[in-house]
Amino acid sequence: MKSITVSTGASRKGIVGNVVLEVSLWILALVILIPFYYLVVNTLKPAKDVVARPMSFDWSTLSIDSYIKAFQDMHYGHVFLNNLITTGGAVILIVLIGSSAAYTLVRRNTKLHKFVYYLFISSIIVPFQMAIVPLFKIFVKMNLMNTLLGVILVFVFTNIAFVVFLYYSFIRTIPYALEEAAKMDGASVLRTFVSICFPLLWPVTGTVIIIQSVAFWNDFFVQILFIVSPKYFTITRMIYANVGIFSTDWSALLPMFVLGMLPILIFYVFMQKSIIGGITAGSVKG
Amino acid sequence: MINKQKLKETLQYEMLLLPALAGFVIFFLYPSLQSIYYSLTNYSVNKLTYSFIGFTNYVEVFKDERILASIRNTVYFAVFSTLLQNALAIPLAIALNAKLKSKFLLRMVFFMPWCFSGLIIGFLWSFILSSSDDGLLNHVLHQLGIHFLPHNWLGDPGLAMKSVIFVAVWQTTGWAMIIYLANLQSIPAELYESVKIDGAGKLQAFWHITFKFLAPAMTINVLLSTIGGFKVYDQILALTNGGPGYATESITFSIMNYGFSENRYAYASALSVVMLVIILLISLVQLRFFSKREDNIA
Repeated sequence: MKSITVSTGASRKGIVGNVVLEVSLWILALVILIPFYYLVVNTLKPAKDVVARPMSFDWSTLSIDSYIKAFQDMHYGHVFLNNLITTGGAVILIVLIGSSAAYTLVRRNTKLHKFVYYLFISSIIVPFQMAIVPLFKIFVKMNLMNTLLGVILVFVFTNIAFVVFLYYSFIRTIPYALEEAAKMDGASVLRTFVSICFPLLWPVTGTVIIIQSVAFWNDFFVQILFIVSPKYFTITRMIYANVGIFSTDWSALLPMFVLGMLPILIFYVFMQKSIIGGITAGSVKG
Repeated sequence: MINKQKLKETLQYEMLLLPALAGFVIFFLYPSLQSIYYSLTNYSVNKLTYSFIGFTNYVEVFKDERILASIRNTVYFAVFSTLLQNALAIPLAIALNAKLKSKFLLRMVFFMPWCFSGLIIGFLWSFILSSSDDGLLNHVLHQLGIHFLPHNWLGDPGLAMKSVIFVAVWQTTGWAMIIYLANLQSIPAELYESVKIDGAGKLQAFWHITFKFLAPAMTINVLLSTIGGFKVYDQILALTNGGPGYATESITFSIMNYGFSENRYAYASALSVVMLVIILLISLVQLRFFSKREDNIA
């Protein structure tokens, strides 16, 4: 009897402790949430109130006019489409050529292939800043300046080494025996890879798609280097340009920030399990 | 016949490697190596010819006050954002590993800022921290009656870099937390049982087991955060644009400035080589230090 009281006493203490912990964590979470709260609140009121009364919020003056204006000022549909093209194009390309290159590096495995593999992985640590000045010249020569294709190519080939590395470690665990039967039947290398190996790579492919989508979608550095005309601006690049135009007219800018974050927020809310899983898998390997 | 078959197969294999390798060489490896080459010349966009000038660019880089400031700023940023990020992420991960009702929601909230663009997060915080009275933080502080605290968070040379570091830590701590969480879940529970039997307290259990066994996650977090810190650009551009003066300029600012505003290609290339060398040295030192720690748990 005595021992039972002791144990319930202890677990009650544990429960109280957990409640205290949970409440404190939510208070701490406010540090994350409050900035977003004030961001949104200040987009839903008349422009003059943003400066005069940044903390206030009044349902009676609620208006979404600022969003309509921001949507037009940013050419949102257009920049969104550019984001979709560069991110989508680069992710598809990096998955296809990254996985197939890793496949050859694992299956061929000669000294030369080992060298290529080490060349890839040792370049992971090299900052992109190393390449930008000469790359600028190469881009001018190849007519890639100020094109979406140029952005896609930079995205893909500054990240290809890491992607090859992720696929390489995974393909090594797939026994060759699985492919032998197909080879016996006279299937080509490409066909064997596509129909037998690639489907088994889903865990890595998922990780690559998630990590790289977020990175490409949010990129700003490549855009500022290689894109000049507003026609090819993506969301972040357009926001940067507008900050230049509207200076510190926050009432015009804040809705643009919200519109800029919205697509990735939606992606995050629906995919958060895969995103967190993908980040973990990607960095534990890397 | 067999040889022909073999050759065909070899070619088919190499065709799969070719796109990745060719693109990598053209768009990354070759320009990176070219930077090293240019750094030893007086190449610039305005000149038709250029010649070797040895290590002159490097000597100048280390005499250039603005560049030295940008290197100091970058090291300061990388070191302190990494330290703070990890010092906060470890307790946060341990707390969120407890049996809490809303732990998944809490994890989601803390991780969220990482998903957004550093540029937009920088602009958001420049709204909150702005110096004028309508700056949100200063407004709040005034209303709370704390009149000595409101500051020119981004405009005061002594404070600007600290504010930049705060924003970076605010954005990336959740990411480090996720890595620590994954590591925590791999620590066998029996270890805690055994120290409990030995009569160790919670603090000792943390020190002897948790902290020690978090070594792999710590290696990853510290390494990636330091390397990321050395490349920092977007957040600072949005928050302070390198100012006031050049109090918050990072190495990337200097490269952009000399490479593209002043068209001194060779000089900017030399600086990018210096950047690579710093990153290599620091990563090697960190890897050595942390792999020793990881060996200790094995």
